[in-house]
Amino acid sequence: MSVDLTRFHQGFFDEVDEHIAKIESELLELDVNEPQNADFDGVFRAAHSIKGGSGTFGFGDMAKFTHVLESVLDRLRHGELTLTFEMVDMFLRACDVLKAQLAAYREGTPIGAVSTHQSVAELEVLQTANFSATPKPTSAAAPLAAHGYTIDVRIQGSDEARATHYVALCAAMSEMGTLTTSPEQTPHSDSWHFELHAIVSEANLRDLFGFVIDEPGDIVIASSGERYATAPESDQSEAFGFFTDAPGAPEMPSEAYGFFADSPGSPEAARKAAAGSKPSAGHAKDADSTIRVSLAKIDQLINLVGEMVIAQARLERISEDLDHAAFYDLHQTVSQMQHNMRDLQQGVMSIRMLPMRFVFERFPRMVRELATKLNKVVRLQTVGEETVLDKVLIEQLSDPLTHLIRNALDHGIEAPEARTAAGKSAEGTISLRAWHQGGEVVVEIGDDGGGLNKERILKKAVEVGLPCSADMPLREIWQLIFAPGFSTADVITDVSGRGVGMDVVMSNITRIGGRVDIDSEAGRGMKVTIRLPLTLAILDGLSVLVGGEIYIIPLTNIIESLQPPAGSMRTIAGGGRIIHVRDEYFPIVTLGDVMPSRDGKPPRIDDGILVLLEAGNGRVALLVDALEGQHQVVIKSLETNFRHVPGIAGATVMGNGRVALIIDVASFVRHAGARAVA
Amino acid sequence: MKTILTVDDSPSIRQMVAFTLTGAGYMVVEAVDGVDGLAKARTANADLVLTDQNMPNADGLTLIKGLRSLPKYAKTPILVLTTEAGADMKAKGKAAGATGWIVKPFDPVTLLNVVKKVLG
Repeated sequence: MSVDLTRFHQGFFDEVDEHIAKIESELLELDVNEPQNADFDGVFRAAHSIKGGSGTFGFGDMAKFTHVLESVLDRLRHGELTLTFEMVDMFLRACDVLKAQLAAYREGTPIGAVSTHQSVAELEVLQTANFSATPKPTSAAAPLAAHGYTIDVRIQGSDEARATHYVALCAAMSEMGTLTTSPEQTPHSDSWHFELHAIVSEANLRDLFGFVIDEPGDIVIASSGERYATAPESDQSEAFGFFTDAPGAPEMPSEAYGFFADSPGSPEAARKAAAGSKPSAGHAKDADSTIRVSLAKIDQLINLVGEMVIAQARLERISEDLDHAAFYDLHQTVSQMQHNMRDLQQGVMSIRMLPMRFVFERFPRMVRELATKLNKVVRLQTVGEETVLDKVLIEQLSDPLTHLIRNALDHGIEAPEARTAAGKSAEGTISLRAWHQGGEVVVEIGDDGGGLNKERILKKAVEVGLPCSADMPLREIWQLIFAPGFSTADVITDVSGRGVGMDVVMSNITRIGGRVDIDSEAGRGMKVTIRLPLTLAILDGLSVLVGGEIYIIPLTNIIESLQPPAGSMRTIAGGGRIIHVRDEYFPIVTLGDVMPSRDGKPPRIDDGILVLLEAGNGRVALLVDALEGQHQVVIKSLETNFRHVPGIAGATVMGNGRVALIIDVASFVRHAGARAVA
Repeated sequence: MKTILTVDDSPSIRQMVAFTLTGAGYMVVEAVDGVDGLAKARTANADLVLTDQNMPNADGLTLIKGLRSLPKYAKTPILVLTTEAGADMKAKGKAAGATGWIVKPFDPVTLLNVVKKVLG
């Protein structure tokens, strides 16, 4: 029989993704100065799992590579090597190689040889050499006497690969003892000859060359005058076997220790696979059993539940009109259904939810690398990684967060000297926090750097022609940096410019229905707060009546609703109207301003209601006839079912069966902004 | 129908083993680590146990020792799937009560051959 293994590849790739992420995150958590041997268990296990799976599913390059990685990790785990900052970097580069290999396997493209070879060469040095500053004795291996070896290797592969191997091998062997090579020998020769006098076992020496050679016969090691070709050790060459007298062993004494002739596992592959690994102690991780389901299937389910919620709401509406006493049972059943439906909806929605960890976990490495590059000392603090959010939102959040953290590092956190001079600790802190708050997810990026500079922002705003004044509330001044004209690298903070692509951050967040606020204190740092809806599939909204039609306004956009007091409104130059509420002026907009007009006349401003709205960095007051009530609605795409309508974000079916349009607040804010500029 | 319990923390390996064995007419019960394996074994009445060695919570050898302490698994064949088949690993496997070993990486054909050999 034959089994097509490709069907398991997708699942395996996803697992490798998770393992790589785990390796990276655990590496970054390591305390380089005082690592515990147990700290390497998780990293080791992840590398080991990748090795096992890649071997099984036929991804030889990845199996070979993780074998080397695993061997080095195993040495660390057993205290044979002392961890250094450079080693962590090396492992992180190895993660990059694994990612590249994985991407190539996924795409079915060839694997880039160069970076793999470089990374392997680095790791191989560690695999055998002892870099330990204070070498710890290895209890298992008895001390060896120095031995003389002559090594002859036949070598294949590209010039580049050979050169890398050659350098790595020479470096590794020089670490072991005295290495002699012929002056005529170059890395580009077809075969290499080495003479080595070192305290090393022949097995270790063979392991060192194991990655470089293609066939076991390609290396000949001679020791004490005896020349022999290396061969796999016999006890490691069996692909499987049975113990004699063991319970359940088949009664075939002659084959009990046997070597089945038809066993396809190549002895060489088995030997290689068997060479480096040792069982690791149990490491606690999520043992939740899971299944992988395509997003399309989940969306279909969510859609169906959405339809059911609508049908349920209609049923409820109908039953309300019936006499309660006469239809007692019906009322009871409908109310029970409502409960179940809510649970069902929540349950289905939760399938799409992912913990924030999925975005957060990439940042420790980014911060580490950027901080090193900028010569800053920065600690990243993350809180609330388990806060869940819709998968689509999580993906959309990744770029803006990357941007904000980069900015905080580059422009927010000062150089250590400047920090010390300002009486702060040399180490800067960037905090990344997420939590649920009233049906929203709040993500906060804070730093304890220099903060924003009010004067310079205002100066810059005047330069690019943004409406502003020094009397503006601070909150609004900070919002200026989100304006498109502001995305330059001009000097804004005391150290350097902030405002690189902040408009992109704002537009990304607005697109997914979120809001961004900034809080800053000179010399103390700044804080960017992002508020997002939990999901894009359902929405808490306020239904309003305009010209006999029902519209839904997302609750996240609403500041408040009010009946305009007499005399609070003014007409400004250009014909626009504004309302003065407490300290702020809101431009008044009507639906007809943005949407294609309908027959109904716009509400009279005197007996209408104003809903104060906020989206992106702007605020408007929308004039409506009346407020209807608050609902949780299932969002239906208008583009999919009809076509795009300006000012409308989507549609929903109400309990009475009528279709209501959901207002895209951002487009009204943009409209008001454009009118203000014009 | 013979029941086989397969214990591995890698879902893709588990799926591959289950797919291969189910296709050959065996009933397969899956477990994600040693602890889960022991729990599933208590209810499943497996005729054969295939276990990975390197797993979180409880590794393969720990699972085997646990299984051998249960009367109903005293004589059941148990195979360890391991990347390591050196003498040291074999001694440990045998001491824990394993019936035999299969070296990882293995392919479905090898797996099925061994399983047929054990279950007859």
